[in-house]
Amino acid sequence: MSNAWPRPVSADLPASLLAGLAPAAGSRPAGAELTLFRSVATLDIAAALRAPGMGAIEWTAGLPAQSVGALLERAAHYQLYLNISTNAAAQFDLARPLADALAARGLLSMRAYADTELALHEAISNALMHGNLAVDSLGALSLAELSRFSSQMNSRLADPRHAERPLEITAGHEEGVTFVEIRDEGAGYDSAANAARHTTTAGGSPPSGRGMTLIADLTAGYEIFDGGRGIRLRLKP
Amino acid sequence: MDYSIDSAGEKTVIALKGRLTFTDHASFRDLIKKMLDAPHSDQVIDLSALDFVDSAGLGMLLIAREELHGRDAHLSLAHPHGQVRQVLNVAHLSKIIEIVE
Repeated sequence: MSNAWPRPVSADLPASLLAGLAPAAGSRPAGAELTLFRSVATLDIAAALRAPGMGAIEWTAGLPAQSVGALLERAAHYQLYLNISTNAAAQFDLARPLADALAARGLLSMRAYADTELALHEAISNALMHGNLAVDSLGALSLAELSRFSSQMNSRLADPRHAERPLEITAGHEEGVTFVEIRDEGAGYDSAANAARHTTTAGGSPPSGRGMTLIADLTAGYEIFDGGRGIRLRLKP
Repeated sequence: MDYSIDSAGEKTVIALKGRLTFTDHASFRDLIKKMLDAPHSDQVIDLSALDFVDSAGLGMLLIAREELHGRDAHLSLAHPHGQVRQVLNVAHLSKIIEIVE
């Protein structure tokens, strides 16, 4: 079964799920391999992404084989694919293994590596915090606001309705440019209103919005899509 | 992120180590409380052992600066290197907070 697709790594994946996935093996692209895992504790995520295959999907209880099959079909369109719960993404630094995986596929140059790693980190943390966890940005540079933020983060991470929402990270190459797309399942946001809110006032520093400024500086450009639930980064050459 | 606080000299020196990111909100909140209780009005955050900072980390450094400023205390950052130095530059943090190379 060395050519099974996906390659399950968690012993506690139900046999019925794996059996239900069998038809998807027929559409497996040559040389592609996807890892299906139940918990990040059982997975070396850096190794799973760096391998010449396509990436990894976290299986959360209740996700039927049909839905996993749909993810497999989506994954086949990209050179790198990761579907991971918010809770797992909050526990691991994903930016470095993703940058390593892009470099291993020849999609990221070493001179753009450091900028891309931070841009990925910023985009993932935005999707995680303000998308799936619906945590409000800092409203002021104060300890009281940091405490509010901290308590909201902890309560949302403890709530499976937020913490189990998936983040999807895909990458590919189009017209000479590598792109990475990060999608969340949050409420989205109005990017124009956000940009206005984050405008620096004379003599002061805005409490939030620095992440988007960094992303603009660290990439060749970015686009927000799906009402703020997705961001497409175009990487520097 | 790990940190240590040394108030034995003329200034309070806080040494940060590792990575300062959005996941450090709780420990940095506790650190700011300790800084507000420290004996010196002149405080320095030593970044020489900090390897990575993100925009949330920058925000937390600015919160520490604002809270100390509100108590007539002064905060500076010292010895950033590598990625940390680059991010401080890109974000123009030196316009807001003193950075000692």
